[in-house]
Amino acid sequence: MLFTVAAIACPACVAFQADVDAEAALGPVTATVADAAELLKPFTEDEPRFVAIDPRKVIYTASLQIAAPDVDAAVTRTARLAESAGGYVQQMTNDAIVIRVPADAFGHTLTALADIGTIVTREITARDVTEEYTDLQIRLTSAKALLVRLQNLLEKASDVKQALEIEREMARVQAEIEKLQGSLNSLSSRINYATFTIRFLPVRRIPQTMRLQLPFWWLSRLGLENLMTF
Amino acid sequence: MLRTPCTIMLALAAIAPGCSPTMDLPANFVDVDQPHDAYDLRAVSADGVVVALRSEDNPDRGTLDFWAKAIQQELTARPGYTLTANDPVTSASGDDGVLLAFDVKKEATEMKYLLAVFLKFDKVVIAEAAGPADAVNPIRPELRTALLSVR
Repeated sequence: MLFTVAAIACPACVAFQADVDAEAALGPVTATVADAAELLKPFTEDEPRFVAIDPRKVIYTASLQIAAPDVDAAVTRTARLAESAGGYVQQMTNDAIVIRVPADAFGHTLTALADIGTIVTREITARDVTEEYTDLQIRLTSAKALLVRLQNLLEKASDVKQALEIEREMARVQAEIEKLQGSLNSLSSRINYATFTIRFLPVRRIPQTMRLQLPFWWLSRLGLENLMTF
Repeated sequence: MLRTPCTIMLALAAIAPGCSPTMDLPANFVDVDQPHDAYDLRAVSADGVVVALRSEDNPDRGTLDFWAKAIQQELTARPGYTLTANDPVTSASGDDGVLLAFDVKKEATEMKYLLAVFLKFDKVVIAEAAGPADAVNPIRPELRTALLSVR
């Protein structure tokens, strides 16, 4: 009862982070509202409140410049490589391609790209987002638990004013749950699929000799380029 | 560069220091006078052939051979330029010079480019002519005459 009064008087004061003691004090969760039940799937009494923390969540990205004699063919081969690895082409132009492959195929794909052309520049990052991922999971779990509590409070609301306040708070928490779920889905996608951004360069003939540039600037102004420009 | 009348100087068959060089234009070329231009003279024909004259300082008195070779090296290093002729010439005013000719490939267009270089006192004088091959070839003798008319 005391908790009920505190929650209605100061909804913002309700703890957003999971708290095991508070959780235990509320007793078992019962979801009766259709929306809340939908949002709580697959979160039921039988399932654990907190998900197990995976050992490591890493986002792999690679940015490459590859020199190839035939740029068109190189782009096509890269697209096929992505598909054969269980991935897909995210973006493609005449001389560039962005592919996404399952994270566990990252190393194999990098090796296979070296067969398509000469890797001129390479930038590889492995960003550990375990903390960020865990934080999102915890916040999502807490928000879902809060929604259930608010539903319980709503059922016990003594008047319309109280009920309206609780419903307003429930709408805010539902929006927050959707936002958190979206963030978690996006992060999961980046974790599960590595991203390769590749630009292909045509192979150029390297001049065999070096020539001294004479220190007479006007020599560079000779020729058609200036003569025929008005 | 300012262009000043040089009639008296022409009568002496020499160009005095401080006077800009000049050349005869081929028939049907129009002088394009552009202020603050790097050229002493530039003229065009209706079918896109350009002739021009410019002079550059030569304070250390580089020889004709030096400048002819420097110009040739500069141009042949550029993509699309192919040297087709390198001939000693004499201008109408009796100055020794070198006439270089190039084929130039610009995208899908075949161009012709002629350049004559002379030394005049402390100046390197360069006369140029260029245009699409099918416009240059019919008037090539007239262009050569114009380049050698430098004085």
